[in-house]
Amino acid sequence: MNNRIKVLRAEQDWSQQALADKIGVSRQAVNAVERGKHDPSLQLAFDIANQFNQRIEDIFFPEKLTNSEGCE
Amino acid sequence: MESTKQEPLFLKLFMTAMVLFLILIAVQTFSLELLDMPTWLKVVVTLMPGLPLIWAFFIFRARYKAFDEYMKALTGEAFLWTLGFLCVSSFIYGMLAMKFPMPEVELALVTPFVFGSHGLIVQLLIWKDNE
Repeated sequence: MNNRIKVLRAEQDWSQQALADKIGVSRQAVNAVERGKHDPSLQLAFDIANQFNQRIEDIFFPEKLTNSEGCE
Repeated sequence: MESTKQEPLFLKLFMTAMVLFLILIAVQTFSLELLDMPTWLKVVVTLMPGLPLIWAFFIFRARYKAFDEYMKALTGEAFLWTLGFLCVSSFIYGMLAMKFPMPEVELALVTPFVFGSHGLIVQLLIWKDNE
């Protein structure tokens, strides 16, 4: 699954550690989700979306959708 | 972060268990060498160092429960790798030992091997995800 976490973090000027502290996970977890190495649980996806005041579907994209519609 | 807050406590408890383990190894060695004890007491003294290891297991389990979902997944995968390596290598050793004279392997080394290689594999998996 792809996502816009890196872009959103940059907009807020948050480091991975800062985001990790806000949602109560390790920096490694944020890094793995951000790089698409780990698909987050629904709870973690909600926590991330809440931090950016966005909806889950505005942050996370299935890879098929990303490939076919040219999303980031 | 919950897991980070618990990390120093985990280290303290784990190191305490390891120190206790070393003390009991020393007690075991000296008792068996110097004291004349009945067999049942010798068995008890010999097995005593196992107690802090059991405690260490429960400390590790508590730490695992405090992990976030990603670290839990990595820990599980690392144990799968460790178990696979242990099973395959012991099977190969056993097959060879059935046909050829083989050097003795100390079974007490299995525990440090499992925990050591598990820690190493977790770090390798994190490194791979960061690549």
